[in-house]
Amino acid sequence: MRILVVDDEADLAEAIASSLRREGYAVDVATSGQDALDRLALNPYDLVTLDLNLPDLDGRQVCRLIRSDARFDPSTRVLMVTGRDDIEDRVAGLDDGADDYLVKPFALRELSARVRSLLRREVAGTDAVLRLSRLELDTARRTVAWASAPIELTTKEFALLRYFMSHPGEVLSQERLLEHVWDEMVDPFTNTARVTVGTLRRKLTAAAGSPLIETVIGAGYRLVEPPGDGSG
Amino acid sequence: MPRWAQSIRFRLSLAYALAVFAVGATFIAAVYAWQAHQLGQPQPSPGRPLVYEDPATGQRIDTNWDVLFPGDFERFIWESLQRQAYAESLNDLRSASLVGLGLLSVVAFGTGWLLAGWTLGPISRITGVAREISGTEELARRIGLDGPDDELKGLADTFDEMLDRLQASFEQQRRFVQDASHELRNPLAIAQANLELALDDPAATVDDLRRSARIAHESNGRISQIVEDLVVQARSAVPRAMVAEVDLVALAAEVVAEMTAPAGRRGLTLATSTADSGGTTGGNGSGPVVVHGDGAALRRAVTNLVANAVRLAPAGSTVTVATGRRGDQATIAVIDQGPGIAPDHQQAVFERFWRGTESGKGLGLGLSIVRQVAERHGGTVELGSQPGKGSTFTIVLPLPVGASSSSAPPAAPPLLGLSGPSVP
Repeated sequence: MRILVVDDEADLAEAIASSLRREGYAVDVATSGQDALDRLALNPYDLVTLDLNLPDLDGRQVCRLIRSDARFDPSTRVLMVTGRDDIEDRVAGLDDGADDYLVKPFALRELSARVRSLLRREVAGTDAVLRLSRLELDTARRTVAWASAPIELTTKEFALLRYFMSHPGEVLSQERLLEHVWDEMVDPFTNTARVTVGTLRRKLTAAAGSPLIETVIGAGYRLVEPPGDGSG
Repeated sequence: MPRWAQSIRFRLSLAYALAVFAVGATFIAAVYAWQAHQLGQPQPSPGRPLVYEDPATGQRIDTNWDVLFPGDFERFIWESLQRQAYAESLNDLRSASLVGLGLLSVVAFGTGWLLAGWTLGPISRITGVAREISGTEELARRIGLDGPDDELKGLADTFDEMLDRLQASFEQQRRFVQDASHELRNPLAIAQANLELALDDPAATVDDLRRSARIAHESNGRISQIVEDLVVQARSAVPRAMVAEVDLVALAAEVVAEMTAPAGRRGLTLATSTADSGGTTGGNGSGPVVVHGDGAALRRAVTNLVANAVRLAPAGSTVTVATGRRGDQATIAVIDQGPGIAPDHQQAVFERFWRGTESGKGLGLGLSIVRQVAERHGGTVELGSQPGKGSTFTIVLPLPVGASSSSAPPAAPPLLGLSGPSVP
């Protein structure tokens, strides 16, 4: 899951980004409205935290552009983060296309809970746990288990598995995985995605007894249920 | 006294009725007396003297009755009939007058009641609106009295104007509180997020913790600045006790000394200069420039200007604090070499919480405080700026009487810093 943090206060943006990175998200930072729009046009973000008080553009304008301009991915979630706490401001923000609204100052824990909530709206399910067969991924506690037996994963492997589990049965290309699980610091020609998929696949296979991630030659990878597994 | 009897309307009507009654009664009494006097005299028969003096005895004889002449008896009868008729008609006149007077008084009271109501109507309307406003705090209501431009219209219009000002100042206050709380939220959010980040990370290194502490500390500094600004803003007049002689040259030096460290961190140089009449450095420019005022507030204003320049000026440039005299005014200017303010924004910078388009950081209350302090001292703030070249903020204050410069006549505002060489 890839997130863009937009705030003109660099110290705040960095703090939000660090806390989200700890949760395994790929996070980029933009400190102005134009900067944010450039990055949004370039990368397919799953979510944007958007400060409304930007030095160049109004945050609400940025939000309207995300919703209306064809350059941007309309499925991007927008979480407005702002010091304006009037009812009118909140209503206007949500009407401009924001999915949620958080007033400064806030607790990072609340921000991350809202981010989780927004991101799981595109996945069927009502709680913080993603499930496939006996594989369970708890997005809130950041744990993974097969039939209740915990699997130790690195942050990146966790983020990768979360993305797979959010798109069950879909074939995901290396490029798409790089776009959504790694931030812009990654070298686009690297094989880091392939390597991480490899280690994740080994750990899952060891836990489940059969491969859960299969390679589709020339297309990418797919998370599948183990064959003959009906116990779910 | 019952409530209705306390009203001005009732008292006016009563007074009116009483006045009419008094005038009517006096008039009727006079007419009655005159009539009585006129009618009370029997008309003498012509050709017969009423009184004559007996030339022999000197005795006065009333020929009316003392001596009876032929025909006197008939005359007596006739005269007593006449007398009776007079008395009756006087009586009639009196009763009619009294009844008339009574009616007149009632009519006068009624007329007075109507007139007073007509006159006082606008006042009860004003009262109604005032009561409504004080009851609901709905300051948008107005009386909007129409009609001739008379005393009551004047009263209502004055009241409306007062409401305009009240509403504007309430609105301003509301917005101010909102802006201030908004302005406080940013540094609060920064501090909170960074502290939480450090506290929630069991593997945080000393460097991580130190970084969080530093950021929280800086945010705290911003919060205190805003609070300090708020306090200055709230002190709307210079209390007498705070007025003292303030030397602007010394004040400039103090501010520069205080701001040297933060300026150095941004690679800026701070300088002071003294100049008279906007440019010519001369013998009488080197002495103190003394004004009467609130030293702490003036210092705060100059500090705000320097802090803005330090925050925004390009690295490597110089920020100059120039003091001087211009005619009977003292000036203290803060001159930077960039980034300047676009003409469109030059008015807006003095608004509270205006945010520079380049800066990203709110100027907050800073410049609005500067203007307020200057105005409280009977002065002004001038701004000369060119985008890309720099800005000059000049606080112009009145010099105490008798202290004005003896040098050349006042020159144009010192728009120094716009053209490099003229910077002293």
